[in-house]
Amino acid sequence: MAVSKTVSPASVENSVAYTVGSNTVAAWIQMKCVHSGTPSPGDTVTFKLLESTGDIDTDPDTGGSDYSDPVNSLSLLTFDLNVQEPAISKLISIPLSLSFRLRVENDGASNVTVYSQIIELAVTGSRSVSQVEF
Amino acid sequence: MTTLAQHIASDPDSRGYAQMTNYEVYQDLVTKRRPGERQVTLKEFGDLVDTNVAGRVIKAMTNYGASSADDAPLVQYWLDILKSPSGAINVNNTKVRAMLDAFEAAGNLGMNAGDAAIVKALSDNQLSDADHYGFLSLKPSDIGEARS
Repeated sequence: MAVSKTVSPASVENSVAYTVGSNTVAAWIQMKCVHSGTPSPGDTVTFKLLESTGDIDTDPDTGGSDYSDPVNSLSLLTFDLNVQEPAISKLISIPLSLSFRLRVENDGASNVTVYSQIIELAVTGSRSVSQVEF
Repeated sequence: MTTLAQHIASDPDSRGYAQMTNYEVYQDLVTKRRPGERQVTLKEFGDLVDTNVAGRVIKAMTNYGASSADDAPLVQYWLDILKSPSGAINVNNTKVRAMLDAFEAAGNLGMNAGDAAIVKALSDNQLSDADHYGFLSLKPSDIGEARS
């Protein structure tokens, strides 16, 4: 696993599942995106949060956790790399799911490399910082 | 209905998707190359050009000598529809376009350059494969998703 991911043109990548801490009372996510060359119009990258509350249908054939499908997932933001590159987002507050996958949709014509980091605030008042892995 | 994944896998028009990158498939799907349909009522036609031109279209068709048996019903079709304010014609139909071109070439329409450009623009409506197969609002990353 790595803390960055190169996403091919017209392609989609999902992070590995990120488990939210059991003592977490608030969480924020930040994303960064770097273009492989010179951005041009249409080079956009969209980040979505595929959330899970666990095995929602207790379906024995899938066994594991179910994640929101891309169409119905939480859209975090879209970077327009032709406007700003490299692009780093503001911190975005995210719902406290059991776990989530970060989905990256590269709608541009070039490779991009993405990074993401989470800050979690625990009930004790302590903060922890973790990188999303792909 | 065929899904995007099924469409790319079956490649019904032999576009060669299998040899294309995701982005090339996207560009191929959104390229407008299929003749589309464009319905125009007589009122719209008259509004776009002017009523004199619209009248001359009808007169020209009335006097149009059908060159084949196949053309005669088409001429009648045009006339019937154009005479009905609620009717419409598909100006992108190959034969309809051919007649329009023939009328214009013969000077029957008497259009000025601007009017001719408007009519031509109406006729140039084209569809992409994405439009044709119903993959609306297609994004490049949809290709990657469909292929995964």
